[in-house]
Amino acid sequence: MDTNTNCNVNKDQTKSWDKIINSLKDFFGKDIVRYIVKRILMFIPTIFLVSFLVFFVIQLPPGDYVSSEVAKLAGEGEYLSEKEANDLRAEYGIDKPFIVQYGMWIRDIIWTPTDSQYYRINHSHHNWKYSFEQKKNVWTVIEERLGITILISSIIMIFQYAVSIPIAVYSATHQYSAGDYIASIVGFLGAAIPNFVLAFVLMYLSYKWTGNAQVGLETKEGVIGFLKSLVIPIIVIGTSGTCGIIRSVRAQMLDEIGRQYTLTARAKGVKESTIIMKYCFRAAINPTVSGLGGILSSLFSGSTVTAMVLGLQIQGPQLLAALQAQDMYLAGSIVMVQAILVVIGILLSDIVLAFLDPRIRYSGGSR
Amino acid sequence: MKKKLLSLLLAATMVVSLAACGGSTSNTPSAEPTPTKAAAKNTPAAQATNTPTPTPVSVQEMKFSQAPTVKSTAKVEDRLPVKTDVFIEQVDANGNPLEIGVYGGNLNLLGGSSGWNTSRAMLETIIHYNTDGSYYPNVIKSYSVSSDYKVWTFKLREGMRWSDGEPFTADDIVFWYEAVHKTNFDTKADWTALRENDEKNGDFAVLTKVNDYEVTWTFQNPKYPASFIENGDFKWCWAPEHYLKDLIPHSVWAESTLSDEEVLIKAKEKGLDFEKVKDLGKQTTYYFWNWPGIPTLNSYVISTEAGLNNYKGATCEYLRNEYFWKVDANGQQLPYVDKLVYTMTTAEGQEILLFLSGKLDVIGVTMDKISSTLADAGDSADLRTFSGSGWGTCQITFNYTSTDKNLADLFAKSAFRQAMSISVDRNEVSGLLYDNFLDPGQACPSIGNFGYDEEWSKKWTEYDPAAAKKLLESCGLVMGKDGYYDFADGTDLLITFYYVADSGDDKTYTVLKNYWSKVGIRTDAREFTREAYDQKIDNNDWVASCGPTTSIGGLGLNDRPAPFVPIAEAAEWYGEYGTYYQYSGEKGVKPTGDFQKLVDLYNEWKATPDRSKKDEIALKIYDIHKENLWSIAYLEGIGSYKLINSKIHNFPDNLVSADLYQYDNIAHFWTFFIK
Amino acid sequence: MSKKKKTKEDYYLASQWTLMARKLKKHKLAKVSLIILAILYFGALFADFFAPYSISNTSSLYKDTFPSKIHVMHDGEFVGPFVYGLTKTINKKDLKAPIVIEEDTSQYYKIGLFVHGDEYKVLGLFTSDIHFFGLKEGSNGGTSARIYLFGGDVLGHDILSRIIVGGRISLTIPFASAFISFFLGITIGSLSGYFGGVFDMIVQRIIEVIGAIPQIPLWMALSAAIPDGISTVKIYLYITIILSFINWTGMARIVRGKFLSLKNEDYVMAARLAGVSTWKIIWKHLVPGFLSYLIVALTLGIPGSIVGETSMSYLGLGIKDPATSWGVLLQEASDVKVVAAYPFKLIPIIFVAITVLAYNFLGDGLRDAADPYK
Repeated sequence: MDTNTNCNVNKDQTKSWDKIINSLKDFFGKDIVRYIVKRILMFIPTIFLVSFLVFFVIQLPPGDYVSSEVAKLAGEGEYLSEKEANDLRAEYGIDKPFIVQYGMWIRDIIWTPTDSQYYRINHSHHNWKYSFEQKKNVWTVIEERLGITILISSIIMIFQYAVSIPIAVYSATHQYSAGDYIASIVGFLGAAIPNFVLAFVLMYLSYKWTGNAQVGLETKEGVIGFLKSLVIPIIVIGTSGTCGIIRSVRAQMLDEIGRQYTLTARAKGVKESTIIMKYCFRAAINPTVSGLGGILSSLFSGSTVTAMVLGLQIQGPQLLAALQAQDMYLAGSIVMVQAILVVIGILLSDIVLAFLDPRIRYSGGSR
Repeated sequence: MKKKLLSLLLAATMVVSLAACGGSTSNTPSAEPTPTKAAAKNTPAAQATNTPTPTPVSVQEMKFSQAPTVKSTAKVEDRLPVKTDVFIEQVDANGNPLEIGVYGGNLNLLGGSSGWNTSRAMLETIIHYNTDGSYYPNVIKSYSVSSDYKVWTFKLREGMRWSDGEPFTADDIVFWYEAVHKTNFDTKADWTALRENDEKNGDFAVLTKVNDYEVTWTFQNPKYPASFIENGDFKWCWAPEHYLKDLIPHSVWAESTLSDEEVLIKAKEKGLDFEKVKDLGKQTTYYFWNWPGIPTLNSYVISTEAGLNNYKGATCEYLRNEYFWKVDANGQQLPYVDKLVYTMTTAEGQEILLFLSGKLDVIGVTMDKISSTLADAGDSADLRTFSGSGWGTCQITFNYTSTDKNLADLFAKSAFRQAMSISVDRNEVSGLLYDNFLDPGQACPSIGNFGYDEEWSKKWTEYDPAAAKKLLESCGLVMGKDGYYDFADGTDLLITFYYVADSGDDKTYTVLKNYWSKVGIRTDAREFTREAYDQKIDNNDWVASCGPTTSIGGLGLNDRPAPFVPIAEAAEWYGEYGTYYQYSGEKGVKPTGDFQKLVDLYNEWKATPDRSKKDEIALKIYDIHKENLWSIAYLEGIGSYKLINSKIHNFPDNLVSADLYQYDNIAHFWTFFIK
Repeated sequence: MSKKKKTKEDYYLASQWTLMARKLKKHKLAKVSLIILAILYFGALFADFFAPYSISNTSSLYKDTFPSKIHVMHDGEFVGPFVYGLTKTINKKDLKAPIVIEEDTSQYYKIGLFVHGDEYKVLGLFTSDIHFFGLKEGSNGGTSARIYLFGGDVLGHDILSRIIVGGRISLTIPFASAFISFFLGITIGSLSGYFGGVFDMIVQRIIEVIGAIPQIPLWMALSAAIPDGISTVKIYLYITIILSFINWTGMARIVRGKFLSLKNEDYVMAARLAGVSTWKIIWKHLVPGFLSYLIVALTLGIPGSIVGETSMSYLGLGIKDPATSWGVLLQEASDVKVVAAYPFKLIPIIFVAITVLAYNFLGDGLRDAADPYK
């Protein structure tokens, strides 16, 4: 089992870390395996804590699903009496204490008893509960968009790294050159222009230039159509994140380039490209890798506003709608799924970190 | 601002009931409103009409035809009702003749999360209204009422079928009434249309099946048209028995032998995956057009294809009902357009871009976006205006039942309200908020509507800050050192306006606030979500409202009386007085003075069957409003606007947008064609 | 000579921080950035004076108007910089262009410095109506013209004035927020990295948990949890401060990562053996070792907060009218109609960008200055 985990991690990383694959193999010894197993075990309480906090946070705003439904219906000219509202609460079980609701939610996700009505109807041991708003099982709702969310997040993340790391290395090795300044200014403009404004401008321009505004993701017109519809989201979400990566890698690189060991290596006649790639870059990438989990999380939640403006059918807007409707099982489950993905991201980043910087010792865990 | 001259809704409906009444004792053919242009229309061909139709059609000679894309192998004649009972669409809701269309194409519409959204384009109801307030039988062939108003008869169209091909008969009405409605399976058992004395808890009427195509509703007490056939809630009275009868559990309907669980399993087998019986009931029998597989009588039915069958999804399709029971004047089966494609947007502005790109064919726009969008769209877009029924735009109102005595006393003074009204330069407000499109106005019926009164529409509208100050002083207010008025007892006067977030009222307040400060009224504002706002109003925990959610007035008392008179826990302008009526005095504040007069007049209005007498009483109610102006509006009433692809034909202009008319439903989407 | 010697001595004796200040002074771009930031903050401090109009001053005539054209020649004569008033023609029938706004060349209004205008309070102390610049009385005595250098917004407010006044919020609160999370991040991250063990494990779990909860539910819950009835600016202040208590996690992880790799360096070991206190080791020996990175993170945090504010405004959780901030302005500009018809409403982006770039270049300067090898 342990070796299995190892392989998977290995595979995931090989894509972007092609060059260093060999050293990776050397590196994976007993320590790292123990470390990973330990981390996965620790990961379980984390998820529970996250789920509890999330469920708590979601219920912080006043009111509940029924009261927001009443308000929504009132906006449509339909009226629910107080009694009907209370009946609904009882029906959905949201009149029960918070802790009971939480307990039932978690229990049903893990193992729905065979004698429950849910099991008898659906023959499934994992009841993600009911989305009040969508009138569907929560998992059905999440499933619809989970794949595309992960796909898009990955594409955007790869784009960010693929664009920003070369630029950062260039900027650092050509500090204060015209190219460096241009990279800085463009990068910061990307960070300074709010995503939703950029999204509106690009959508309008796409209409002006092609007569066809790109709203949402094109899923019906094959791969090309899909990729075309990805252009604006990648520009909008991608540019906002690249600046951060460029700046931090550049700063680290500059630090490392000025270090004694670089000077020594240079004095010894090591090729400049080797110095940069093998020594400086490896050290410089460290903080960026630590931030991987954070980047993943910001891709999930930070892109919500952009996704709304661009009409992307990903999970962010779904979550926002669920929160606004106080559809707590749906909102809670989306957040939990995202949280699990983010925690996995953090785990991966820790492993990569341990690999990149052998000075980080995990012998027998932490000291 | 375009104005549509409407005939009086109340007058028109009165004629209807008189006609029915005059027809007297037993069944009359469908009641025909005579005096209006729009009245002569869309009648089952067999029935005589009093006014000539634009293109006289002889149904006996009519040859029926169908769209080339129809999949059913049954002949079109067999899918339509019998010749004499086919519905022939000849005129639109304004009474203008329709163009004969061509088949084909899709209509791209805007999706929405509201359960009602898609219904606007396809829902077929018991009767249909015209813009002048007259109406005609729609799904039913005809209706009539006995002279004592106790027995109502509905006749159905022979040979009419559900969208799955099963016959639609009186049994479907009986099933709906006994199994769905009276059992509260549809969660709407509190409709007053089928209850004695128009009470939520009154006894149910007795439904009798006369034969397969005729039913009667029998009441103990007289049931007047206003609370029966004209009741806005009473939109349908049928459900597909063949499809639904094994989806109702014993716990709901005594005649059923199925348990809740069995019902849910059966529903799941039909693709209706609900976890609660309550949801199953409400969704399949109240929002039935939104769920795949459920047979309907509507012009379109939701697709059963995965990914396209979720009305809350990114895209959703509704396909032609091949058993639809309406034809055009040439005998072509409606609808012309193959399918309706709904696209959901997630941010404001997307719909405009999609419209410009040709991916949406009809969108609603606010006034300020019309010119820029039309300029971009060139000739490919047309504008359609719907008149509204609201009493004025930019409304404010005060809490007359405020627990703060100083404020309550001040608000009660008419001079104070007058000062608040005349201290604002309405032309400037219109310029800032509506690009000068709206004229100055007051909270009163719009021109052309029942009860319009020019004097009323101009009352307290003249901008005069100096006079406003004098009025304020006459209310006992004293100018303080800070340049703002204080109460006579020295306490600061501060009026806090409440409004709902994202309603645009924040802008209205920003504009009005400046004017009020100029005359020395200190105001403040607090923004709430709709939910929190409603709670504040219900709890009487508010001072004043900018943009009340239930604004005063409307189309008429028969549409919804609650905005006119203090009878419900609903409108801001009467606050707790309405609660008092709704809870029969257990809660709320007992109305006094003119508020009490309104209640008395309303009780009188309710007990009057005669239309012209009813109108007289309504006008008396209006007079009290004119006198008091409990709500102040600064601009005339606003309509709503649609931009449509100019390829769409038969989309009438100058319609009326009202709840009673099912909003956009009055455009009759099933008559649209694309060319 | 002796003076020079003294300087040299100073140099050798100077602390790390003094050296940094010296190097910073030599960094041209950093100096320029510092000056720009000083101007922006000064402008925000005396916003009411620099803003030509009050931000509550509406005008239907100037609603959505393009930036005022500045002329110098009137009727072929040179009169110095001036603007014309406007006239508005309404033709409701022409649906594509129902409102036409044209310059009214019958009289001109000269631009002047220190002119009288809307009243305001200077630093909340005394009332004044002097504005840095504005229009003088028209050549025929008219007073209806306005000078809107960046155009008028949807209620006819002066966009320039709103930018200047909005700077008060946009230049301060995000800074405070970035700073709090920066401080917390360094402290907690360094302790966690330095000590390791159980403390590290607990901190890491906390970071994981906080980091895994998406921002939006937090924003919504927080803004809902704050009692209503307080001003939106205060609400926003509370939210940003609370959020900065959440946002430290990213920084803490990075600092910890750095510490893990640095703490076993010889010089740290040496310091530890020499009995230097932990606190001192952290702040004196370890933090300067990657100060450059920290500075970058801080300078990145500020634009992050500024842009974050705009996103919150967009979701309706941030500042709202009548209070104003750059986020509010950008939120108003995020509309298809604006992009299509009134592109000048995007001008606030330039201010956000300038601020962000200035902070960045200042950060660059600081980074270079902090680099002990240069």
